[in-house]
Amino acid sequence: MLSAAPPGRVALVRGGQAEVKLEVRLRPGYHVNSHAPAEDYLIPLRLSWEPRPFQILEVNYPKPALEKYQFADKPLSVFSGAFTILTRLKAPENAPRGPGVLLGKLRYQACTDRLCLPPKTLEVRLSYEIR
Amino acid sequence: MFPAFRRALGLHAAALSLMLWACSTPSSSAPDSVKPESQRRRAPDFALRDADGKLVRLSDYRGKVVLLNFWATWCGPCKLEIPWFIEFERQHKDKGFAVLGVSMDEDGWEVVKPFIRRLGVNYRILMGDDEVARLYGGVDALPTSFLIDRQGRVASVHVGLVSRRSYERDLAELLGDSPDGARRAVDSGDGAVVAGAR
Repeated sequence: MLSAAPPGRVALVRGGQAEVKLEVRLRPGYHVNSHAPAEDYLIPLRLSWEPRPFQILEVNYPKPALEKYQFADKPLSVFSGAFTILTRLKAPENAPRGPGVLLGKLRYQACTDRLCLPPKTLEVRLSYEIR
Repeated sequence: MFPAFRRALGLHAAALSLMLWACSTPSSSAPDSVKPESQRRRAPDFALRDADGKLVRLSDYRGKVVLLNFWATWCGPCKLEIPWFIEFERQHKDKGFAVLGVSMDEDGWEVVKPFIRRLGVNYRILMGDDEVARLYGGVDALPTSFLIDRQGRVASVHVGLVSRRSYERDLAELLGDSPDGARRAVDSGDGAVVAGAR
């Protein structure tokens, strides 16, 4: 239903910043609610990361589409097809040097225009090196 | 074999059987979505709690036509159907009919109770679990609804949003309001007097 290519390895110095791209792809016919859904009963898309060793500066989602479905009175804020989520992170001055893997979670809930699948969480692994 | 293992095998076999049968059900938008009686499988019994904490079994409803609806508060297509089911409950409850809504919300009653209050749901809501989903062939897509006849057999399955008319047609047949019911009873060859026979 939804797949995400592992983000490319990042290398940064203590005190430095890096940008991480998570490329997401949805099966044709399906959409996921955006990070800011139009209705409060809808489950938003959310990318979160472990709190250490990096400071997560921001997670930027692309601009969603407003799509009208037969089951909703108003257009819904959704993503479909392929899209990219950007994360900016910073290595603290006292971050331990060396390689590691940062774990993230992409929470989503997908529907077609007729049915919905349960919310799911996809684990994301970011390989990094702090120099 | 140990009794528990034997029971688990039986449950899995029943679920697989129901799933295969459901997959063979004609498209829910086709005129003949209600199966002939000879092809209806027994609806698996279950025990789930309602909003008052009472344990409710499907077998409590034997003798009634039941619309068993799997849904969730985060499911837009489910939300569209609920007013239809409210109306069906109101219109047909005196004919031996009941809607049973099985919520698949992981957040439980905390989100479901305010939701059903806001929508004015007038039928029983039960809190579902993985076991009941497995019994009914692995309910994943929502909404999924099973129409169960008075003998406790699954007469039709609707996966995903279908038209209100589809439900009305099925209900008319199962409640005995449709000439199609009489035709199916004759086609099943059992000669028995059943709901819908004229």
